[in-house]
Amino acid sequence: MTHLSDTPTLTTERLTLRAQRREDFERYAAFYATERSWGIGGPLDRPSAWRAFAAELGHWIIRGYGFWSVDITASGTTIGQVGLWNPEGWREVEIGWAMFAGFEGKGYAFEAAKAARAYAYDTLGWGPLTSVILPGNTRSEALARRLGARPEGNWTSPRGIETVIWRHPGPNADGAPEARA
Amino acid sequence: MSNALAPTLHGAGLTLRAPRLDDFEILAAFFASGRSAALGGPVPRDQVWTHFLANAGSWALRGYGFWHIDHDGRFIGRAGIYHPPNWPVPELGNALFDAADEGKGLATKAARTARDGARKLGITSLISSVGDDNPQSRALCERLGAVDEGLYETPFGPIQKFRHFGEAA
Repeated sequence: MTHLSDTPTLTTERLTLRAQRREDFERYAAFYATERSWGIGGPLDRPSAWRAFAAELGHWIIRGYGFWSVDITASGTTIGQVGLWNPEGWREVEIGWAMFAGFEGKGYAFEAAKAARAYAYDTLGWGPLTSVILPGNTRSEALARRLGARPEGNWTSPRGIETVIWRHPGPNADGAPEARA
Repeated sequence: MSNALAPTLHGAGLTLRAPRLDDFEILAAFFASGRSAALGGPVPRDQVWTHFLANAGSWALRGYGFWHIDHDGRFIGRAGIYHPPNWPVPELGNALFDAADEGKGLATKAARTARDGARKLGITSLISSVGDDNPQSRALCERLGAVDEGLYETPFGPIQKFRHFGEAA
């Protein structure tokens, strides 16, 4: 099968961030079928999940960056996704994340998001990034805080969804002390 | 870039190529217009963006999708293989964005180039679904030599099926 050969692979202490591939779709669709996905536009039925998944791969092709699938390096288990996301009509690039059921509370999302952010800053040369979080998505808010991000203001997306823009510390400011953990 | 996946095809003054970012405005304008009605339009801009990305991603996931058509240095339409998740089989589709480009044989040339390209990609069966209200599409299928196989069931009810090549599943 074809694949996105330009997608960089990032590694952290425990995790590997790699190009998404077709085999990831079942877990992706299962995640999007549940209420757990409400913070990122779900739940979605299977056809809509396929379209969303194809669009994530297309984001790499069209923009040159996007979401990685996140594996636990030791076991190869795919636990979620993290990446750099920039839909048309958004104000700027965001760092986004989603952990599948059973893989929260272990610091994986934090570890993966830090790696994605470092790639954006160090390799792509970008400035302080944002994360777009739905009000009340307390787990994402907690992760954003741990990453050193702070709420910057409200923003209504092109789909009319009320969100909060969180601003991450920039490339040379490592942010809150916990971001160095 | 090597991520672009769709092979570039040349035929009869047309170039069929991979989608790219600066195509989006033209695509969004087409899907905002009444000319997109036959494709389910008008479609809101944010949904056009998702479909635009999903088509690019289709090349990675399925190995086929729509090519974007250039003619005289302009992005004038798309032609290729349409296979959304709730659709039974891959299908040849095409659209020209501007009425001024109609009537010059461009749609037929693009569809023929895409059909032949589909064969080269290893697709073994290719049809087009033609609605009652789309005599242009029926005429195009006939010009391409597709065989009328009668009505078949789709998620949108029975539609006329024309077969370009391959056997029915």
